[in-house]
Amino acid sequence: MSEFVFATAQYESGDWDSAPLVPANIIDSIARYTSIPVAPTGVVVSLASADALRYPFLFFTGHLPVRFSEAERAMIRKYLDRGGFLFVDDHNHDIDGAFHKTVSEEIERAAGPLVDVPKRHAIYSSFFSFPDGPPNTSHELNGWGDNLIHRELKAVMRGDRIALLYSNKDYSSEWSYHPENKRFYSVDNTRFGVNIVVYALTR
Amino acid sequence: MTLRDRVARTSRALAAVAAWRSLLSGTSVGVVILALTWPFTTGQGRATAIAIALAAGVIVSWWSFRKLRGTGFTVESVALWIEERIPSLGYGLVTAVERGAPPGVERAVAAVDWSPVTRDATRKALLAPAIGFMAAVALLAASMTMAPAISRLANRASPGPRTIAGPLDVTVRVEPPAYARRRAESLRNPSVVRALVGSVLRVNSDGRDSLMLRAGDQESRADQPWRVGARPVALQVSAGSSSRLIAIDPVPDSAPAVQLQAPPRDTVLATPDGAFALGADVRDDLGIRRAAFEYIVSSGSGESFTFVSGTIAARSLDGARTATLNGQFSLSALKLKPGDFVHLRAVATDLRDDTAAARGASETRTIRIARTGEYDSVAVEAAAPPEADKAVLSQRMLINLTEALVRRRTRLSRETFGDETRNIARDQARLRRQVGDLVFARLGGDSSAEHGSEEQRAAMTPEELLKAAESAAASAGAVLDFEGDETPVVAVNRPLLEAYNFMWDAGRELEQVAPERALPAMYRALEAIQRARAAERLYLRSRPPRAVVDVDRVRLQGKEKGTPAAREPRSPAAAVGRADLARFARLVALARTDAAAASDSLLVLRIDLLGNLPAPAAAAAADAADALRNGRDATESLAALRRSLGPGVVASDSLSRWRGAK
Repeated sequence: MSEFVFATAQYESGDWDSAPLVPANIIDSIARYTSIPVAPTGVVVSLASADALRYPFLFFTGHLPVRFSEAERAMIRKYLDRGGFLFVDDHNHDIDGAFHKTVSEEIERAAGPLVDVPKRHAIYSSFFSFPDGPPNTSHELNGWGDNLIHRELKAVMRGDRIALLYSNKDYSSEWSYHPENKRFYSVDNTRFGVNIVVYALTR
Repeated sequence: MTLRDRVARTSRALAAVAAWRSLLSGTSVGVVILALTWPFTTGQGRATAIAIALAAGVIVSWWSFRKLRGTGFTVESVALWIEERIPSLGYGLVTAVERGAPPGVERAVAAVDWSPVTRDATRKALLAPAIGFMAAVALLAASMTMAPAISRLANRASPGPRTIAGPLDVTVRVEPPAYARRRAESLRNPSVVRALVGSVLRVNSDGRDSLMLRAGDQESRADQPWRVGARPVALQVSAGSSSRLIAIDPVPDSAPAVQLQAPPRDTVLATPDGAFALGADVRDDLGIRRAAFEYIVSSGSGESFTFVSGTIAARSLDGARTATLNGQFSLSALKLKPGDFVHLRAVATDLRDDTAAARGASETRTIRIARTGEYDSVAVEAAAPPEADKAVLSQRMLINLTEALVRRRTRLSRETFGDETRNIARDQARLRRQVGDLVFARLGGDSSAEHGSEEQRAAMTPEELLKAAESAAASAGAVLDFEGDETPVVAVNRPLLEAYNFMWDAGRELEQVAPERALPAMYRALEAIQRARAAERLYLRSRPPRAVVDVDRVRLQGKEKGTPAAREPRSPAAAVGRADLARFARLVALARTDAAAASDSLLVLRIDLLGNLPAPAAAAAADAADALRNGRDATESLAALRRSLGPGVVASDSLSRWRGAK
């Protein structure tokens, strides 16, 4: 079995590299909790390139407005139709923010409608159990961004499978720290990242 | 009026009653025959059924009339018929009619009124045939109404091949949606109807009022308009047992195609003054409602951004197919500041309602206003500086630990105190090396300047090392085009150099187990780090810092244990596969025996595969269906279609069950 490679999507507009330590942190958690073979470093892959099709999971984040090029739009459609999983996280944690407005419009245009993910969805129990739905981030609890706690994530479905998971909870900020610093947390806040990856690889 | 005349009038009345009774009986028989055959016939078959019903009605009427008339309605026989029903006449009437009765008898007979007898006989004679006639008409009406359902039931009940009573001639009128501003068109016996999504189809077949339309679970009468949806469907038009299959190809209304011509590329502007031209070309398959330029201005940095959005040069185009949009973007009007980003694009909506599908947008151009002094800072690196290794303890944490150690000093043994102080010294040294990496990476281009050549530097004193760093800074400044006596890089990193220096001081004191004396240097190192943090850093976007996880070391070291959920197989993806190829082979075989059925099967296959078929293959399928239906040679079209279907795709699910964490 080939090892799992955490891929960060690079896109033309916006700041795709705004959470550089998220890949290492999630890779660390995958190794720490599961037996999934995992590459020690992540890769960066252009969203407009066919190379994206080599990775079953893509991480997508940013603060700035997102406008996909035609090539990016076509590749997203192809990637999701062929079974890929795209995790899009709003690094602003702001539903009035330009990232949210633009990326949700672009997602709907490229991939289809965003629907609420119910709290009992399999993604919340694919490895760790999150009976209350998506875990809150310290940024939400501190009142940053739009000063809201977002109760649900959104998704673009392909059949009964989540193909694109959209988060407005700012996991990019929550998880962007060196994995060695996990020892200072009483509860590892990257556990939901493990669920997302396990879901992406097994559904 | 004589007695004979009265009897003759009764005779004519009875003859008329007999005629009506016969007519009603015959008509009832004809109507019943028609009612029984209606659901199972159409076209020519139905005409034959009507002829048979008519003949049967005539025969029954004639036979019935003949039987009722007997020997005929003569005056004598009618007089005898009256005598039978009024015995008091005592054959006086018969006698009077035949031979003439004596005047007394004739007067007595003339006084008798037999019209009630006639009326009673008429009622009895016509009541049953009238009821029978009405029942037959009701049966016919029910049969006509329920003909499609009865026909389906009959088809379902018979397991044999479906028989088509005859070709159903239909006319399909395609009425595009009003916003498209296109004319309606009529198609005679089409195999494939290509219509804009939202169009209305009106189907009729020579005025038949029992025409039914069916596609999947959807069914309606043909007098109801059929709206074309977004998905291709096989529309079955049926009347009785006759039907025609029509493939409906929906043609989606494309969103407007918008191309931004100016500005032609992303740009960095030195100052937020003046204006620049905007230009875009817009085209649409049906018509454009309006177009405009749309902008978003992003201000801020790091985690704090603000956004302003708006439109420029909005134009109503009233259905034009192509348009050129021009405008001007005024930087000064928007009061842009250095460091702001402007994201620009052109957008257009077509004639549909203002939905997301009706909106088209161009590529986005990003115009950036340069930060103050940016053009003086050409010494920036192509990549973001690598982030400090966050695994090391921060300077603030080291200060806290040292202060706590100093407070606890009286409670600790000398040996423990020394061990803990040296532990802090080791962490201080680790942090110093990280800071040294940043300093030397910036100045000397070597990202591992300290521990990359540890042996070489081990021989150097801290002062020598700092001197080497400053020398490297001086040499870097010499080759770069900096203004003044200080390079921007040094301005950014000088606090780090200071911090680095104070860390050496602090480390030395800590190694000598003198944490109190180390604290002032540690405070100054922290201040220096804070100054460096607050300094403006400029870097272009490029590769992110690379963090490598020691997977083997951390493997399954997590304190919490999850439970992997059972793996579920995915639903198979739709594609042109072996099953579709097998369907194609079956319909080709069927074409030899039942061309009409093969044509229908081909149209249904075409509908199922329309999303995967290239346009020429779809056209070949439509041609082949037409040829099969009209008795022409379909070999060439079928061969073209088979070629485009390609070889069979073998799909197998080889995924094993994931066992999760061990």
